[in-house]
Amino acid sequence: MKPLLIIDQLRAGIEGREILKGISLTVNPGEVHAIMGPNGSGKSTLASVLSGRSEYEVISGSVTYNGEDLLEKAPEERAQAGVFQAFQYPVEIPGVSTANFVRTSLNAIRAARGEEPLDPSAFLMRMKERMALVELDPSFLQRSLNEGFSGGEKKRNEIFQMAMLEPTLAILDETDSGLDIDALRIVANGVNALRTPNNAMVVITHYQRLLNYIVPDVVHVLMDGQLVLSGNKDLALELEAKGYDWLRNDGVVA
Amino acid sequence: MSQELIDDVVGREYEYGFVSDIDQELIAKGLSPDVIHFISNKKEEPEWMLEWRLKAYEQWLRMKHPHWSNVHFPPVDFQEIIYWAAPKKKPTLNSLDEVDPELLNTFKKLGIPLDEQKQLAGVAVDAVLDSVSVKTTFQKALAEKGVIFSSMSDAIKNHPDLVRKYLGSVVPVTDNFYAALNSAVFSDGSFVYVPKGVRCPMELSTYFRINAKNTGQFERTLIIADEGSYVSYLEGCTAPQRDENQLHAAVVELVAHAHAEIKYSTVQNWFPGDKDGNGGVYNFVTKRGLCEGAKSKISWTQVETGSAITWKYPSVVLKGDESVGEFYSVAVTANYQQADTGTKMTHIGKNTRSRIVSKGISAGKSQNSYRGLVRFNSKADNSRNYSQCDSLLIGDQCGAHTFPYLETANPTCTVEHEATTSKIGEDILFYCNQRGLDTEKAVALIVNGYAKEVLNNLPMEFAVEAQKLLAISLEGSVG
Amino acid sequence: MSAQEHLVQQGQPVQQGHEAQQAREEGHEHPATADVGIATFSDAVKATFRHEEWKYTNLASLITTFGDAERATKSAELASSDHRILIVNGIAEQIIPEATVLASAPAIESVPGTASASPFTTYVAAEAQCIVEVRIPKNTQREQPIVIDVVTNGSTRTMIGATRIRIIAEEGASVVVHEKHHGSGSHECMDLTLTEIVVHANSTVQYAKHTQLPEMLRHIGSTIAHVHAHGTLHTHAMCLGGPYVRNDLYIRLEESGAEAYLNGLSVLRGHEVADNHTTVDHLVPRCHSDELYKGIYYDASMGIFNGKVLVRPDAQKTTAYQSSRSLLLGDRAQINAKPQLEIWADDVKCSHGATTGQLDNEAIFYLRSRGLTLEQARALLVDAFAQEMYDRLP
Repeated sequence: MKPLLIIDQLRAGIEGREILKGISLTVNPGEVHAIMGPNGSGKSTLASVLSGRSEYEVISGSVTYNGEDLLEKAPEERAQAGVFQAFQYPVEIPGVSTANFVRTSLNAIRAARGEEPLDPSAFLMRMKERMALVELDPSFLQRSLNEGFSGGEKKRNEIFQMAMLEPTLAILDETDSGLDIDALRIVANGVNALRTPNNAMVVITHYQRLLNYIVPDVVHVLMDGQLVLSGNKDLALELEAKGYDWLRNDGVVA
Repeated sequence: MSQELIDDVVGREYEYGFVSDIDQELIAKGLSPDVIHFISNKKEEPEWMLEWRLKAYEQWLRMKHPHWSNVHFPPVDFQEIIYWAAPKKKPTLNSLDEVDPELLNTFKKLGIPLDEQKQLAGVAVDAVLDSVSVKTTFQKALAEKGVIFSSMSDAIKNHPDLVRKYLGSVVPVTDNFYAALNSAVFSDGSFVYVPKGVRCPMELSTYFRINAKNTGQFERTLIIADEGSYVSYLEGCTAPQRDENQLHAAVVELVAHAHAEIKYSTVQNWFPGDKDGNGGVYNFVTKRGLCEGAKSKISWTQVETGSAITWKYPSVVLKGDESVGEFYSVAVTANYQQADTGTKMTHIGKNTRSRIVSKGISAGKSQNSYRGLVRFNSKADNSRNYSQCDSLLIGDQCGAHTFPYLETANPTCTVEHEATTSKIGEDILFYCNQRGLDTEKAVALIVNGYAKEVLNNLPMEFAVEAQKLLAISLEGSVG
Repeated sequence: MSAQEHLVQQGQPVQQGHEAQQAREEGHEHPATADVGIATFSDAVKATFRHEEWKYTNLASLITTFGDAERATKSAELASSDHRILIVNGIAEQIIPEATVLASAPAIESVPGTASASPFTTYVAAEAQCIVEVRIPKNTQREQPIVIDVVTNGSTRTMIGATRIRIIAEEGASVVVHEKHHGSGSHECMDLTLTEIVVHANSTVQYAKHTQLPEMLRHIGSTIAHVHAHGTLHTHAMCLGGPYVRNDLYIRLEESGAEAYLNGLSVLRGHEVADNHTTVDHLVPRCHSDELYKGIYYDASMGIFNGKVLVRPDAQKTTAYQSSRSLLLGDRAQINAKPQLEIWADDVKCSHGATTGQLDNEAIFYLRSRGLTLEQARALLVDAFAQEMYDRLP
């Protein structure tokens, strides 16, 4: 099987400070990878570098997506190629309705792929169906994007957008933070419904509990900018029970 | 937004920059009493009208060209302007066949339907090319309701009493330099009278276009809503792309009697000059409405994307008790455009209300100023104003300025004024990029959202046009 | 030539308005004050006529009142004190260890539309009867506030006092200064001051100007401040009475990290007038300013607030906030507010808000339902409105 994403010895940072200190990771289609780690370990930096946030500089290493150099592409080109990031802190855009935003976004991605815009009725159908997936009330469609949404509603809106855009690679950056148990279940169900043999997900999280709902194929531990340990889903439970410090005490991290 | 994107400023194309080859009648440039006699004579005006014009001309001679604070341009030479330009074939009202086909094409290109079969349902159009009204549609349907919608020239002939009574009653001849000039030389414009208790059955619309070279356009619009009536009026404007500057100095007067409502919308897209700041229309306009009667309402909505220089303050004098004045504005400036616009709300009657929502968007090397006056006279008990003036900056070469004057001489009045200036947040742009939108599309989307409260006040068909116009105006401003 | 080639004045503040335009159209054009020689008080008054920055006040009668007013010239015996400077009728009578009386001081650079271009600034800069300079040495934290009493005494005849004060906080220093204006006597008096403040790098100055004037005393004063890297300036304009008080405040944020906090409170009665004009000039990137002016106007008093935030082309990452709030409590009270933003840089966060209104009826009702009388309820709410500004005083 051809890997979807190959991160090779990636070093990156911000404002001259190195945060990712040589990360290598291969993600195949159909896989869910969880990246866990304590605060400040570089989890969000990894997400930002993958989606192309300009403040972050890549020092060395490479990221290959679908056989192409991902780091060369502008953020919108990455999105058009099927990379989606569910943000930890989604922004609010006053005056732009959620429906209008999603339609503009979807049609921009389709246009980049040489596809016709989705006709209005097909679009409405799809929207209705995908909103149900994350139990988002249709009234949100008319409201300005994320404006006045609760934390949980914003996260559900991110997964709704993911459902609409059908990405090949989804990066979920701390999607579980700030969610109560019901919202967590809704978000996880939405994500699970979107799993196919052709797409892959990278789930970034601090806590294990999300992984009870979204079961990962591989769990990686990120500490001080390096992946120090990989394992199956049981590793997440072990981390939950023992915390992160034992990895340091064991001398896994220098 | 990255610096390269901003540095890579490319001038946008002006879609309406074509020149039409229409057989035109022009007089020699320059202004003198002879020219005024000529215009008045050409229009077969009554004696009183000619006298009114000549008096205005004398006043104008005594006035000095204003030195405006926040706009800069070389002096206008009033002897270099042509004050009369008209298509030679003047179409009669009921026959489109006689119209110069090139002229019809001009309006077709502009998307203005003259052919009643094809036009947007429910919109009556008065098209003004350079100086004269070309055709007023739907007159018959309006006449059945008693609504008068005609060119100003026809109104002077057919409804002299109404014109005499109201012309200059809201904007006096001596109001300002350009109002005086307009009073002396105005060539045409629209006239609307809505009788008592009548709700005008359709949107009324005038389309203005400057075509001839070196001409000034001085149209004059007068709208009267009699007691308990309602009318919604839209004005659109374009001009050909020319290297030299063209002058547009219009006067618009609105009178709303008791319980009447006038909604006046403008989509202004005069040629703004090219990306280096050459050419473009000087848009120096006086617009004022008088809420004459109790519970009357006047609402101005404007979308300003064109003109090299815009200087205008659509205003409302709130004379009737419980009258309401509104001003909703979006002004976009790009390249070297300069806009100094805003409103004056003068509260005279008791329990009067005014609301101001102004959204300025500056890009390129442009300057965008909001200038507003809210005044409560000592008798205006329990009156209120709410103002919101926001500025959005795109690129680091432009300027955004806010000059509100809030004068309260009555302690029972309430004023709330808020203003903000900021640029489009990097995080919002990045979010849009991450969802597959390039920066230009993202900016268009964000700007439309930002202007939504104003666009929502436009009649539906024009709101769609205005949205497109905003996106076009900012093309090339972000790389 | 295209219109745009005329866009040469970019970055220059502009402050003309509707009325100024009208004045010009009517042919009453006035040259900038800098071009006019101002040798006498009357010259300064004349320069305000038809001037946009003086549109709400007519000072013409001052020419008759003060045309031949006396200026004290006698150099008084200079007493000393630890914390109190005393200036009477423009003459220094008592100073503190950190202060000196200077024979001359540097010229004021005139920036149009700001306190530095006020005709009274020009007049006092040239004609001040005394110049007192306070200098707080490097890294000195002065514990005790300095009080500068500016007294105008009109017991024998009509007087004009013109005083120039300089407050310099050297690097890393901190100081609190109260400049208090008062007076006595039965003759009409005019108190003119020009205060310059230099806040050097990493220093802090808290400057409170108090005007509580008797019926016969008017005050026109300018304050010009320069704030350097990571310096902090707090100003307080407490206008607690007087037939006419005019405060022109101009703060220049000249190096990155400079901060300015502008506070003002006017409480006026009768026919009193307080005319506050402020400009915060963000000249360089990464400076911060925050302004709050409040006013309570009883009877037929009049408040004027003209506040300008100016962000120069290079001043990216500026944050500037301004707010003015007025309570109109008198039948004939008036307020004229002109909050302005002039922004020439894009990466900024600026806002202003202005409100004018009355006491909240809901709040009054609530208090009355708890047993307060209407008068008590009103007084309590007015006090609460004002208290915030007193709390901010050093």
